[in-house]
Amino acid sequence: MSHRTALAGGRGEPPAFSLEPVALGEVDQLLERQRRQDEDTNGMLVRASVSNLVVVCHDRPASRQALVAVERLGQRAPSRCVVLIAEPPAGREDVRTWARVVERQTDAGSKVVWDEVVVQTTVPPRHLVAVVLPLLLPELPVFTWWTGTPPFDDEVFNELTEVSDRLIVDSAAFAGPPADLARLARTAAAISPAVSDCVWGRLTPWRELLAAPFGGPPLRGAHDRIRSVAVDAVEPTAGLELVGWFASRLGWELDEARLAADPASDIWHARWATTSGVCDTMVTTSLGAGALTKASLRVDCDDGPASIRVEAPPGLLVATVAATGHPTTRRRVGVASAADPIGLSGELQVFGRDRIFEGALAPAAALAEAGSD
Amino acid sequence: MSADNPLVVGERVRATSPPNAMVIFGGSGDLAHRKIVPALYNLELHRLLPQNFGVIGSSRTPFSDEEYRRDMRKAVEEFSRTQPIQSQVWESFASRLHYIAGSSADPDTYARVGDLLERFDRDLGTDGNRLFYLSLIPKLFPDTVRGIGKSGIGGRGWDRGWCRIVAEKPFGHDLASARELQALVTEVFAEEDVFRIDHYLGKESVQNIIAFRFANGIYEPVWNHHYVDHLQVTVAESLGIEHRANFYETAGAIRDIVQNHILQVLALVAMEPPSTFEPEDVRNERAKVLKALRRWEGEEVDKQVVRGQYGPGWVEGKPVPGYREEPDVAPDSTVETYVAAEFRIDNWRWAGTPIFVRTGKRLPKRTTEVVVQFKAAPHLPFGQAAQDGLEPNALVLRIQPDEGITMKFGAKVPGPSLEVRSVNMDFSYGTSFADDLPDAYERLLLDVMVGDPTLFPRWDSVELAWQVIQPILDRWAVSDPPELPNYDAGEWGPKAADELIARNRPGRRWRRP
Repeated sequence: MSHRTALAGGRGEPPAFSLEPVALGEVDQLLERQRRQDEDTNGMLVRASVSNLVVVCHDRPASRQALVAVERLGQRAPSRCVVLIAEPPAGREDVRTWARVVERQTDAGSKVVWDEVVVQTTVPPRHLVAVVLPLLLPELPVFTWWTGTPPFDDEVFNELTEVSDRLIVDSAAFAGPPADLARLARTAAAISPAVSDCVWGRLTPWRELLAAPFGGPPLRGAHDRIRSVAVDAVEPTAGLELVGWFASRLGWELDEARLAADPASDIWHARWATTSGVCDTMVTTSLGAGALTKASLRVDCDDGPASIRVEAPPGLLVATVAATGHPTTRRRVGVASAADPIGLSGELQVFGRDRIFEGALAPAAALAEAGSD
Repeated sequence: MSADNPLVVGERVRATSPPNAMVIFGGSGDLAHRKIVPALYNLELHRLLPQNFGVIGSSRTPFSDEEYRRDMRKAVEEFSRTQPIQSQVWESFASRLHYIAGSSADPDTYARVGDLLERFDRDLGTDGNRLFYLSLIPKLFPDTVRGIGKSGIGGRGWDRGWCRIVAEKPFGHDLASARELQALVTEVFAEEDVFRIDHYLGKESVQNIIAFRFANGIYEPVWNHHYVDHLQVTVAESLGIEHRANFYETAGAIRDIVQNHILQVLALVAMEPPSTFEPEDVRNERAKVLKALRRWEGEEVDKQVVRGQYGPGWVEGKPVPGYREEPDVAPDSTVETYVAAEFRIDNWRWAGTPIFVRTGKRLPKRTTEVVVQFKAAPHLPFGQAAQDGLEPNALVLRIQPDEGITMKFGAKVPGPSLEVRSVNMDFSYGTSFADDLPDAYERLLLDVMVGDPTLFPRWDSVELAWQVIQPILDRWAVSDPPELPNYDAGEWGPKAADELIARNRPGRRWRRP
């Protein structure tokens, strides 16, 4: 059975691993051979090159999960995905490599082709770059997706970020989300590659829905009179980043912050000085699906109090705007594709720095650090 | 909106539109079903509509709001590019979708539309911003434009927000009627509030022509008469006229495709680099190309323009009738279903470079593409036998359906001898970026709401395009047509089209898509 047949399958199916073991120096030859395998009957597998994705994992189970996530990207997959399992140096230094070409038929009928290379290595951290560099497609952007919490202060982190154009993390998967978010903020300010957090990408529809009412009546111009923000966050870093976003965009200064922890949940309280008074924010960890379950704002308007509430019933988001003297409006919109629940594909489309995210990260980190007092 | 709202300033990628209410005149028509409402649904699905938004469909069909919503839901289920339909998103959108039955000649229609718009402003916060979409057959344009103006629900005097009008093509039936229509429209609306839709300009692959030309340094130096042998623009359709005989019998291929789509695409391919991508800078450059297009007049038309009509044949493996056998087509119709023409652009960049365009129905496949055919290398040192398979370089910008770019160049055939043949290097949107491309109407509707006219033909462009086409229409009105039908369905047009492209340089030929 050819590898094409073995890999055939729709998006979302578990990948049928048929990675072939290969010497590191012969990866490109193997991939070329696979591309040509069925050339006579199906034509050679080719694709315009767009980007490299390096996925850094701490063990093989994590690498399998990463490959499943890349598979799910389907038609947005990078041109080449290098999964690096960087194990601590132990005894004999070793590099083992597997590779394959993956072909997928998209819903629209196009063929999408990408390369997957898995490298398991125990070489010293300072040599990891030498392992990765020959595997990258030339002159294309390098996105590095670090699964779990990156070892921000370790040599391996410094070495690999040096060859990256963009570092992607998922702060929801951090070992200690709030504290690690603060470390991410410090790191982002210090390293040259752009940094992005999949949690931030997953917040995009929430931010859009919370921002939109301030563009028209009855809330136009009332953004400087937000008096409270309450967020129920499944992923605490999502709640912290959302509040950080308000603070950075609206010029709030943190007056005081505290963490109230109990066995059921953590609650980050904060008071911010705004241009027209104060705003109290509260981020509560909660159960649910997705990044957040609810975000609500209370706003002082000329006609009296108003509120914006965004909730996440399964499969969509519902935004409700209520204001004194005006009919309540409710709007339901779509959310991210189920094929990419992490939101990695969105991050692979961004090549420059995301200044809005970087701006939000600092106040979010300040709030997160309230818990460490 | 973004200037007022710091929460959207600087957000990447998305344009945010201000609150507004949209009225679709012709709201129960084919275009509303196939394009406009599905596009609105997809904009809502992707959170691109404003929070404060409402839609009114209006036409003669007697629908209640609920009936209209049911009818439109079926349309979205059939024509939306995203499937399946998300019911809750649809319900949310549909709650802001209303219908008013009425004639475009009846003042009461506009009064009731006005009342509902007032209610939108009050209840939905649409802020007095109004968008009138004329999804109508051309003969209903005048009554509708006058009706909007007289009723005071929009137009120049409207001062409670912005007020824009969207006009579907064709904008006029000929030069005189286009001018007449323009006079009428601008009596009621300011020119900057008139958005004439040519949906080709909303296609990602058409916009990519601009990106390709002006984001890459290596092509522009050879994008001129020194290096380009000729340009080709092909808009080919495998379909016949479907159910549009009434329209097509009065339009033909030249009005349906050449006057708008082909000339607008040609303008993008041939224009000078604009100094900025501000709407007026881009539109100025497009207009300059149309102004420089040489007008063929009198007998010259017979030499430079080929018209054709399909007879019975086979398309996509099925027998199809000839044009004259189509329902509602006159059995002796001389309406052209095919046009090929040679144009010239009289400016410094393109002097002496022929521009060949063609469009037709019932051609072998549906495709739209632009070919930049470069001149051959000045000297080939390989010997004739070694270069038999070699053709000059060509760059093909594929607009639909397989959006992408192909570069043809010569390469050595592997082996002991130095044989050279042409090979293709392909870039395909579908397998590179592979995102689901938004429909052109989504982009264009959003642009109208945001107030960005870049992708909409300005009046001077429309008028200039008619000035190119009108002398051809005039000549055809007085000259005998060729013997029709002159090509079989499923072929690439009449032989005269092949002769047209080859007459001044044997070997020149239409690219086979």
